[in-house]
Amino acid sequence: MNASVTNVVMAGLGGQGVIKAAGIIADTAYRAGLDVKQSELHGMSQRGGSVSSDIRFGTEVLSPMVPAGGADYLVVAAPDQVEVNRPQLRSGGVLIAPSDVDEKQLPNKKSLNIALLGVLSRQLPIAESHWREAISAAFPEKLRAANDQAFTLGRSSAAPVRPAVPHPVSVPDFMPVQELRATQLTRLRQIVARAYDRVKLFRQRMDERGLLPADIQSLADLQRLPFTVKMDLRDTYPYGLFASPIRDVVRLHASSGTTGKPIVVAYTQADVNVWASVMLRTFAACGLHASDIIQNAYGYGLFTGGLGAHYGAEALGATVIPISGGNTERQLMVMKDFGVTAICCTPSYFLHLLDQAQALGINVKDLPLRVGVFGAEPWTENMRQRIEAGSQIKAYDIYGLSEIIGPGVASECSAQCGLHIFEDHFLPEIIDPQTLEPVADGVEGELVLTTLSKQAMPMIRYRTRDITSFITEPCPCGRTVRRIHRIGRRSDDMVIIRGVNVFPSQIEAALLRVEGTLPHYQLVLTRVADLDQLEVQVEVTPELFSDEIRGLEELQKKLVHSIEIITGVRVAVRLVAPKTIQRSEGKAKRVIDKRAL
Amino acid sequence: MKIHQLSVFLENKPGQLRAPCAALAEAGINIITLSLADTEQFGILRLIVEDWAKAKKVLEQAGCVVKLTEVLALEVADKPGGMARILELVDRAGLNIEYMYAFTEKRVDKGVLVFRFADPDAALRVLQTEGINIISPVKLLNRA
Repeated sequence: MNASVTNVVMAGLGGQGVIKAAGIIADTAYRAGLDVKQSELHGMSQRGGSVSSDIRFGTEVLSPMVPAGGADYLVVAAPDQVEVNRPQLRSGGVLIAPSDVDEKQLPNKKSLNIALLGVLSRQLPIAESHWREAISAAFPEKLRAANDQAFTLGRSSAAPVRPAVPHPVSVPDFMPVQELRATQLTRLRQIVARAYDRVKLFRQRMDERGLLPADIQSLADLQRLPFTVKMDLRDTYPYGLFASPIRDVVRLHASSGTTGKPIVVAYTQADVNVWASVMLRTFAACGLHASDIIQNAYGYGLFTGGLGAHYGAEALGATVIPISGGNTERQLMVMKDFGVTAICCTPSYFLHLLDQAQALGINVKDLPLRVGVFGAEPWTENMRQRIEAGSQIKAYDIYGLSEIIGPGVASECSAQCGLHIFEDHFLPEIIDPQTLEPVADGVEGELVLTTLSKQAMPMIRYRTRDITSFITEPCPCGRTVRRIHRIGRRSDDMVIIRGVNVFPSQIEAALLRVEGTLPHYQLVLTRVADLDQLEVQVEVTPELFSDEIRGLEELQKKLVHSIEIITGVRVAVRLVAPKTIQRSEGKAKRVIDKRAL
Repeated sequence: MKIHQLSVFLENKPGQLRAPCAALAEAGINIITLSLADTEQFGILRLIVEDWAKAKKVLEQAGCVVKLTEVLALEVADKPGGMARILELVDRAGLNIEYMYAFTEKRVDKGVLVFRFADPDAALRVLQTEGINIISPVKLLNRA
């Protein structure tokens, strides 16, 4: 959402003057010299049906449609229309309802719409005179006095000018920074003491450095602590890093174990509760609430995605459908028949669902689905645009990893610009992966996380291998917890071709630049005469397919060129038949390494 | 009168041609004629079939990427210069030909398929051992 654009949704029942009020808002903004766009009336305009209209204004407004869940102000003229329309409000957005005015004082009942504009006018930085002029222009002479009076009533109503009100559980997201740092330091000292007392490997490493938990006096002392890496979890498999006795552990999860032994992670009841709270904060940041129906298509089981999202969604009070991953046709049937409003899965799996929906003649745009909470694999801004255009939902990026807690480490908010780390529980650092020194704010590096409250398995300075950077500007959503840029790549997903680092996400971005390519692709790495060769295999779609050899060769050339522009290397592109590249239901496997090393 | 032609994307590897043909066979759709264009990596199978709408559905269900194109079928005298006269007209009109292929009208109750094999001698040996009737150039001319 562009912060310089204000999104207002005016809603109510037919006959309440909803379109009239929306027109006045638009006219007022226009009179104030702003660029304004107003959508057509949605819904049945006959008396009694639900209706709404979107108004957007700012320095420059391109689309008249308020994005789903993106309204800054929701003005509802009928009490029974409040809940129906609430999903349109962004988290922290302001609701204006009939209860905000004393209806008994209205000159006549029909002027409620104008009284509500009076309430709205107090929230917006637009001069009162513009409102008065617009109202005056909208009514014939004989109705002007009554509407003027209604506007005055609303404008002088007791309703306070409300700042963005967060969900109660999201309050830590908005904590004053000083308070946040103090909380972090207290928790850091506790967790270091706990790990030192209970985890042999950590104690050894502290002793080697001649460090004691009491030496941690400030957040800057974090840098004196030893790192933890994935190999440590493998070396101590299965229970070696636990800081709680097994009788206090209520849950174990494990990684898929693509290389060697899996890694095992543990939770006490308190850990499970924290996990649910950070996932709740994730959902709240994505604009979800208790009346949402959430289809949780993350895999249930040893993978943390399924249960992590499940507990958070239940804590939110939403309706959870624990469908888990796989069985695409059933997913679509449930999405359609159960009136699903939000889905959790990997972004590549959602694209797969969209593909299949099309094949089955289901138009996802016609369904009530409005939000996607996507994570567990890196994806790109282009992919988000494709998802949002193909399904008319808001697609949010979330981040997490089992070693830290699972999903719920960081999440986007309504601004869809960077992910807020829930840093009262997860203390972030960004380091140079070579020198291991912290990088300057805003510079790219490897994300390192310290769990501040995890009891069963504290992770001190865990190297995530994920590459990102801090966003230094404050977020328009008002959250004070720090933001990181979306994780585009992992330092260990990297392929080196002729000395150039190539990441799957770069290939994805390059493919998406070529019109019509959906990102079903894979990278095949081979070694010919001691040289690593990369072949990018791209599935041909009906949009891409030309029935002339020349057309297909042209397409190949375009793809090669696009990849070269983004990565700096020329790689081979092979067009392959549709559905020949394996689909992921968990993490997408993008790199097939066929090198005999 | 334009004719609907279906084009199918194929990867250039063994077995790729069989799948679409098998799908059509199973659906009982007869192929009137076909042409195969190929590069080192991929190929395009162009088909003219009895019921193109049904065939398109069948092929898509079989997982093929299918494109519908309109082509013109021109009847020419089946004698020397028959095609040359058409091409002369095309040239004079400044028309551009993207691609073309040919087949003869069915006079006998058998079709004629034309293959190019990478190793024609080996293919010839195999097909002869299998008892396939291989038409000599002279015979092919005689059929026309």
